Amino acid sequence: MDSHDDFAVLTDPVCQKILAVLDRNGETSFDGIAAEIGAHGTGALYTRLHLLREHGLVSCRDDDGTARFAISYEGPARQVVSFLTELLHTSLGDLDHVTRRVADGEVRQLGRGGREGRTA
Amino acid sequence: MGQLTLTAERVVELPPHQVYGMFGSGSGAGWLFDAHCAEVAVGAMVTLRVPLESGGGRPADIVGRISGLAAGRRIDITHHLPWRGRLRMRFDPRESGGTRVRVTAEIGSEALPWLMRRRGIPATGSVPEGAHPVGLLCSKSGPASVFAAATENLALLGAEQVNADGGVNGREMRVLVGDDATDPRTAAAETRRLIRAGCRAIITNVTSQSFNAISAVARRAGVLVIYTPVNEGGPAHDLVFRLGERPEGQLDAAVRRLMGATGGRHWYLAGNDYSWPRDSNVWARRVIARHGGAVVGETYRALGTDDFSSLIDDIAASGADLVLSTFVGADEVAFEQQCHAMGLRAQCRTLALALDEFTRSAIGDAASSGLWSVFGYFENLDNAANRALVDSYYREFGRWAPPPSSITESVYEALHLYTGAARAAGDDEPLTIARELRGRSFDGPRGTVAISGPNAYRQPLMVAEAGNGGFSLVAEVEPSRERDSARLRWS
Repeated sequence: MDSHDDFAVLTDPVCQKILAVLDRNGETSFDGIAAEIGAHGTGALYTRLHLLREHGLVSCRDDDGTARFAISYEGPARQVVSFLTELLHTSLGDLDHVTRRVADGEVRQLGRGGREGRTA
Repeated sequence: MGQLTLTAERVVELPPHQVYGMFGSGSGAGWLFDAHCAEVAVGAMVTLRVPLESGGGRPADIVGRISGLAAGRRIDITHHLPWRGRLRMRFDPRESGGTRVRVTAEIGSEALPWLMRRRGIPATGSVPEGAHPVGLLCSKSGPASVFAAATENLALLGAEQVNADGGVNGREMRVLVGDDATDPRTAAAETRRLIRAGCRAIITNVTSQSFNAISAVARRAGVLVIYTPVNEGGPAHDLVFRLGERPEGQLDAAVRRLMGATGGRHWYLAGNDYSWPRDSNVWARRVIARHGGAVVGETYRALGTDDFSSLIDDIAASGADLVLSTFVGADEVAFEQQCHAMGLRAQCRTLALALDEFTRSAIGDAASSGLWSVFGYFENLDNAANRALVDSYYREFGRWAPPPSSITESVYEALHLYTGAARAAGDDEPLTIARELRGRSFDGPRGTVAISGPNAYRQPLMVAEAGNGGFSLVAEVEPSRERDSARLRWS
């Protein structure tokens, strides 16, 4: 993995699993992450956490001698991913809006290739 | 290649078949980024409009094809623009009524740096140590974006072949891609970025107005520029090479034949408002007059126009029986679709100088049928070099990849011509490579092409007519002499 490439970090399967655990649980200890994604060795997990921190994707806080990790939304690549995720959700929100208009009878025709029709 | 997967889901009140049926209707009701497609069928082209810029900038189009379908339950879209990826939509009925809609977006590795730059976050791109970087500037967004995916694919395929053959003077060729967004200011900024990343040669497949911005930056930096698509020519410079078809050659090949085939002689000239269409029409007036025709109207529209109805009304009222279109990309698609929809085909036949395979397929079979085009290359050219290229292309990029065309295949040729020159030069010095480019030829998919100077490129030309599924040959014209179309093998 190219340690300078944000995308390589974000697309690495172990990094994705770590981010998913942190997304789901919020702040989590090293042992907590290891317990959830278990199949990978401690060394591999440590390396990935180090890379994620280096790229500003994960923050680390020392809590009474136990390191606890959390997603940081400061990394530029992460910002873009968050932006895309938001776009996707917004677009599905539009679907909700359109279906409600169909249900309400406001939109009476949704023919492909034609234009949206409206009741008078 | 890495891949990022994003998911989203939503529960809506309507049953699955109704939600599924709404997909692709566009005009604010297509949902999922206002998707638009002529039909929901495997192979149908889909365009999704994504608002990528904050503050209401121009949205980017995701262009792809429906690659999988289960009626009422699932739609898969494979897209190549502005990045490679796949969108999967599933429609699951809920026991309590309504539908759970799940969308999964698989995003290819080139998306993130592109998006970061688009959002104003620096992402220079890096070249592995010891590699030989070559810049590729194309239009991954904006009206000319219809050409970008095949351009990038063909550049990557060319580089792969170069590297399998030992690279450039023993070093791996690495293609760095820039996006001009069909905008000259962005083109200049992207040129500077590619130069900062180490490129000393840049191959460009953009509009003429972007190319002028690129070549100004590159010349100042002492960087070699090769411009590959149809173009109007321009001032000679040691480091600037213009390949591609010239309007005078295209018009000489097609105007007389179209007039002969249709009996028409009254031409209306319509195109985008920049140098290539305007210069093409200067030539058109001469060629049309030489063959006894007359120009009854000439109109230009800004790049990015999507409503041509007033222009089409004007053409219809002008008494024209022939149209010369110099619209480009998405504008050409919209213009031809609207000409068809408004009934202009009954009055006029059209010759379009930038109508390539992808543009034709985006226009659709019905609206493109009968349009004439003239280029040095068509995908269905039946010779060994082209068969090998087309086979490799679809094997590498999949059956849903946009078809190669003259506008995009020219990049593949440029990479091979550049490699030959760089190998002959034995170093990376742009001026030395430029000297070696002069007089160089390449036997490739369109036959033998040769560079005799920065502004002189010899290639055969073919006049073709669009029909269902593609183009059929009307005539082949060699640079210096015409020959019988029967001598050209056309699959």
